[in-house]
Amino acid sequence: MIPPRVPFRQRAAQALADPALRVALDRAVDHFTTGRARAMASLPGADALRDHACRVRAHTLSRLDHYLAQFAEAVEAAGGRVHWARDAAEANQIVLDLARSQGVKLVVKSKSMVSEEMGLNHALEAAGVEVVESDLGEYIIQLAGETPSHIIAPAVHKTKEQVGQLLHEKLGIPLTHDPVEMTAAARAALRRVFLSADMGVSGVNFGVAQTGTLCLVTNEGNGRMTTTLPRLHVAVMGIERLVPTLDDLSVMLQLLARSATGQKLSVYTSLLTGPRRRPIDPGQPGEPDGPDELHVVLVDNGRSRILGSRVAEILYCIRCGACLGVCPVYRQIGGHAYGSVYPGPMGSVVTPAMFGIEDWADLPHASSLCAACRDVCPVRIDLPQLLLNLRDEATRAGKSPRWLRWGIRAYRIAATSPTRFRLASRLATWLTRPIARRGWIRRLPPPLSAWTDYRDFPAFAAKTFSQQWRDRR
Amino acid sequence: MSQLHRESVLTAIRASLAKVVLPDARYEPPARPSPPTREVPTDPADLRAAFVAELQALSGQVYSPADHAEAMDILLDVVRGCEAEVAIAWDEAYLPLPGVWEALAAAGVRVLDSTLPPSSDEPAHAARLAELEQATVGVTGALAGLADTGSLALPSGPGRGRLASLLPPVHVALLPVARIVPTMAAFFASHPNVVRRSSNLVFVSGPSRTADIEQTLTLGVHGPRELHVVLLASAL
Repeated sequence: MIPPRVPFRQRAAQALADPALRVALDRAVDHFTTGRARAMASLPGADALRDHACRVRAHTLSRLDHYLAQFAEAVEAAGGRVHWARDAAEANQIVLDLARSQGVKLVVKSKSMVSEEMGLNHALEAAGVEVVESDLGEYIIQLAGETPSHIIAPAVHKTKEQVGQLLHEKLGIPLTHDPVEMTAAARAALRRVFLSADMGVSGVNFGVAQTGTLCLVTNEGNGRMTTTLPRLHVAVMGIERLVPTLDDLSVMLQLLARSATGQKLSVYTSLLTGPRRRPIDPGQPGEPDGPDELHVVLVDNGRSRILGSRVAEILYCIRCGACLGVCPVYRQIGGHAYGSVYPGPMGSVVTPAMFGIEDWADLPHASSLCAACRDVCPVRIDLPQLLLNLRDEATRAGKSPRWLRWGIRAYRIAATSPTRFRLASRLATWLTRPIARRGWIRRLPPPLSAWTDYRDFPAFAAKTFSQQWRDRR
Repeated sequence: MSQLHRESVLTAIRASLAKVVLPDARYEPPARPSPPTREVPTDPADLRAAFVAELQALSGQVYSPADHAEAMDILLDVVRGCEAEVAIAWDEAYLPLPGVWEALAAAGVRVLDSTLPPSSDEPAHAARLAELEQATVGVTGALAGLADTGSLALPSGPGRGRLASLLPPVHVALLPVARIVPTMAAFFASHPNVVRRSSNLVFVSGPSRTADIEQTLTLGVHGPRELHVVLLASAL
């Protein structure tokens, strides 16, 4: 993925200055957090189940080579074809070759974050293959020529007024602010696509190693359409997305929808094991419908490297999006400011880990380390710790700003001797006294303005702690 | 080519695992962890009550007819209510209510199974799809109901197309009440070979829905807008 040219600080400032974005985020994000809290409360023993889910993920990843090989064999035994891709370019090429060799003109897609990570739509369109997204949120942002701003609610940054205007312009429907009417218009447009598409491309929520089953969850039914109507089904999947057995799958499914949308289970939980079954004997009936071919593209794209890194734990992630909604940073700036297809706390770890700390060194700082993300993570990823690990790596790579390095050096000089520390704190009190108003400092000169541009700084006390201590004794 | 990359990906994974820079003790236990045990209802009346409550909370309609004749009336009422002229249905052998095809035909409804010709025969395939798209109602059985989520388990197989529960805007499912199990885990335990037998197993929990525009709930996006579940007292 290409890193944005504009630095994060500037992107965040732009997002904060966008009034429509604030309206959209305010209207939508609370639904996620309250829904999640309610749904988790409805699950008896939720905390023990989260502990267990964490252990399942850890276990699977510690034997990823074994489970991946087992999964690939099982997929092929069920009649599917498995393709291995080391990076995004190879994965795109595999899908493109399939499309070309089978004369595919129209591809319908159900939501897949891996395909966003790969830039699959661009690769297909550049080769003259038409691609249509079928998840309503993805369809909206495709019409708008944008990228998703949330991993499960891609159009969360848009108000209904904006979506109404967009559908009015692109589909020629009368201008409306009613989501029901907008949904009906999108349904009609996409129905025609489903019926004529040659290839369906989907993501994979979980692969079951033992049976070679792909698990896909959607609420709209677009996942079922995409994997049933076109004659070819191509599933793109990150190599970490495995569980050993169906029992483990049922554990993950109890947590995924609850964490994502506050549902106990998504409306459609599809388990796909191979393509449409042909009759065993020519005289017997086979399955009446479903795709003739199933291809699974296993995408590494940095995951095997992350597995051996200090942020390996991020591979536990089941892409529920719970950490986005609770993050005070995400709630203010939305997803686009992160500049990556993976935003929020999980994105601030995945993005630098996958695409290189050199280009993404500012993302681990897009967090107040309040740990709300760790509290909601269904598989108990210690996201604040991983962000700290990446900040450390950025510093080692020489990516921290010079003023910060100087600042830290100055602090070290002051803080490593009691005399110097006392002097420095008195100096700070003395220097800030003229600008402090009612206990707060509202404005500081650069580089300290980086703090006061967005929040006030508490004024230094008139007497330092050691002075007060001496007085009391 | 793709097999070549298989080795290269697996080798990269093994190299990373060998490094074991993972500071996390949670990686330690090599044995497969077993899930925490959980109290679930097993009494049939409790299971049924839980299933009904969950499904209704998801905007599903649930009916409990006293006998087969009443069940058929309910089905025909739904069909008349949506003014269906065409229906897609599972084969009679997989419907736990005898005589559905005949009763629908008698009510003036054209009943189709969801058989699609091979895609190599493109014109026939497209024509059949256009025909199936006309259907207003889909009638299926169900392999099981999950009490804790109000879900139906629908397996694909000969005579049991996926499209019956997907393409039409109204879906009627016929479920013998004895097939309601407590949880998905219980379902897998009692049907260990289900994914080997069916290329497609779908758990359906209510009608199709979206909240992609400002988190406003809207029913009936790509799948059915209405889901009717008729609970049958005696299993087939």
